[in-house]
Amino acid sequence: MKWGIKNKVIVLITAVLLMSVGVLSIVISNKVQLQTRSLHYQILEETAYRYGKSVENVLAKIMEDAKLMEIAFVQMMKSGTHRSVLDSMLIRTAKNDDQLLGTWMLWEPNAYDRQDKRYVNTEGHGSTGRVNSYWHWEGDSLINEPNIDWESSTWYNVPRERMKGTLLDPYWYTVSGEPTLLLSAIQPIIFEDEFLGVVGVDIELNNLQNFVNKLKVEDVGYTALLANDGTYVAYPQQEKIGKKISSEENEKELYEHLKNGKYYSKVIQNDKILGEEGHLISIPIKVLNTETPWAFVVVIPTSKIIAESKVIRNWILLLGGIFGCLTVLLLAILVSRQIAPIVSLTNRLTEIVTDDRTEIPLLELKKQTGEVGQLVKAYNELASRLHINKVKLLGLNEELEDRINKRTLQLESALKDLERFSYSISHDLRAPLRHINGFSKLLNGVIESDQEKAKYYSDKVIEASDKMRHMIDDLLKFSRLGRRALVLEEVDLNKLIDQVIKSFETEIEGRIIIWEVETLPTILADFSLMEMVFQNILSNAIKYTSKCEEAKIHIGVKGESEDVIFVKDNGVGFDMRYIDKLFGVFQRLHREEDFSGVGIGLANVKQIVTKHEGEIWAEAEVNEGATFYLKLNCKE
Amino acid sequence: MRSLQPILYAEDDANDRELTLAALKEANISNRIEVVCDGQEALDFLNYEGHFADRRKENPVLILLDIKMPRLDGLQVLEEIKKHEELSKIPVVMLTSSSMETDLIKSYEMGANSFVVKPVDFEEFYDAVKKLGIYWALLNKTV
Repeated sequence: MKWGIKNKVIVLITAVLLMSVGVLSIVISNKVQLQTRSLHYQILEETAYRYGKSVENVLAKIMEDAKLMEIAFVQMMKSGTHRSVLDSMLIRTAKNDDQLLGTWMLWEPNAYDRQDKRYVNTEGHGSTGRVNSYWHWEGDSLINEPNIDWESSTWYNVPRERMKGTLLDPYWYTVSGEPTLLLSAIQPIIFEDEFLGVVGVDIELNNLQNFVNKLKVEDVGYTALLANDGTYVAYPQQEKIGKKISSEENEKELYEHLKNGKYYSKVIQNDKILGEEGHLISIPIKVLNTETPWAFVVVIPTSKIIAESKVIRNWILLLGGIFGCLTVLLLAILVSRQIAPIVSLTNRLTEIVTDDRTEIPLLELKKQTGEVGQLVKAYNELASRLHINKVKLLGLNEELEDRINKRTLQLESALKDLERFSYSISHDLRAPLRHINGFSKLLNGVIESDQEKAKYYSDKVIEASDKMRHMIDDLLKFSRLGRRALVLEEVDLNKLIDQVIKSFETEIEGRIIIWEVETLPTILADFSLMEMVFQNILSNAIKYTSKCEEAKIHIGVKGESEDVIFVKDNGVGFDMRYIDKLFGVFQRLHREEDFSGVGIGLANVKQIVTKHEGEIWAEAEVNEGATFYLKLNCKE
Repeated sequence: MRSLQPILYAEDDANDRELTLAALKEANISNRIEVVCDGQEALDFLNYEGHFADRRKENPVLILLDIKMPRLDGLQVLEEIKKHEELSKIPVVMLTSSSMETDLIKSYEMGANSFVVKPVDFEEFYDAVKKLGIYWALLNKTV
């Protein structure tokens, strides 16, 4: 299939347009996608921070419990309050905050009331007699089970070293026969920069776990809580609870950030919980002035994040596509309008080239402006010029053909004349020769016997030789006439005819000839040759009317066209059957005895008229006279 | 004795006529020679028209036709003769001053019985006419 310029342009524009619209749409949609994603992250982060804050509040609360007790304890120590009040304080705290599993304290030896010795192995005291109550819930009852083995324990050593509130790492403890993950918030008891002991509270991490597990992230995500040492406090999978974070690459990184209290964000290729790609955000949780930040982790599937942006991107692509299509349609219409004249121009030009017509169609000039308009205008100009030229050319062709035809006819007639001429020469010139020969022989036979006859034959010989001389002279004249160049001038036929008629004066003496000469035109001709023409024609008229009593010779102009002149006589005329012999050389329509003459006069006339590009013809009837017509070039 | 049928001789040139008649006389042809001066007159003679309306009813035994004559020429006369049922049987001899082939071929095509090129040499012509005369005279007697 051949593609027209229109289709090509439309396809080209469509391609370019679709490409740019496509690229633009993709760029915009990607941008939007990114924007949407980052917005999503923001929301996700905010959510994570908020949830993290909630966890922090829980942890801060227990830290506060411990701190409040420490402050109270120091006051009580300074005021010398009985050590049993400390227990009351622990009990009240344990009862006031229902998330607490237990409250406890451990004072340095004789640090509170210097009465340790008194309490050795008494109720609520160990063998040291130190203040070391541990109140905890057993079912519905709160029981004091004094602390033991504290020298090497973290809950005692860590706060002592740090000299500030400490959140211990989660640990397993058997509560009511069940292993339970616990967390302790411990406050060192400090008075005048001196470490006097610790006071702490325990909570069951189940509660925190349940709280965290209830937090939903966008319906599809999950949450987790990690303690400072990387222990899972909350996680969708129960078996991980209480266990430390694994040493896998991902988790190791997370642990590093968590330990240092840093924000962490990571795309997890194949999240085990989600079963697909997920986005993890880890928010540090710093509880009061502790140096052991925890981490709240949220993970949501990437698909969720990008789903929305995908919707937006799809909308953009759809709108881009529709816009692109509409634009292409509009462009196609505009382009076809612009190109239509070019297409029809092309068709027209092809037609002109392939089709040899005279008619060259013009193009309608609509509202095209600019180059196309100019093109159409130029084409129309060219087409009309071409049309004119073609018409001219055709005219010229016709004229040329006419001329060729005319010339051919002239040539043919000249050739015919030449044929007749040579025929006549061979035929007619022999006659006198034959006569000379014949009569000479007859003369020979009688030269001695019959003087009279001898004289007769010798006269015949002379006569024949004279005739031959005449014929030869006439032929010479005829052929000279043919070669002679025309000297054209204005010839007044009236004057010429007058002159010719006058030249016959002596010849026609005694005869009655009635001349009727009309006003004749002035023609463009060779004067002396034209004189010869009329001399011959008028001489014939005079000759062939010689047997009339009253000869009438009429010279006039035929009809309205001034260029046809006729010479009409009332003489013997001739038979129209022999018309083709009339203008031949040595052709005679009459016997020599009746009318003398060599028979070359009208041949000469015809030759002259033909040379003048004129025509000559005749009409006649036997004994009814003859009319000769001459068509000559009149002066314009 | 029944007089011999004439020979029709058509010739426009007076000198040729005189010379031809002289030759025929020399050949001892005893037939009367009817001389006409052009083709039209020849047809008038054959058809008993014009000047010849009252002539005796007899067809010529031989027709001698000059080819080149004013008005009707020899070929045209021959054409007319051959169209005519009775006249077409009369032998026709064409006389011509030239030996141009076209004329000879045309003559034969149109049914001429023979032709004689009018020779410049009188002797040749004399011989030709003499032979023709004898031949045709003999032919005439047997009919």
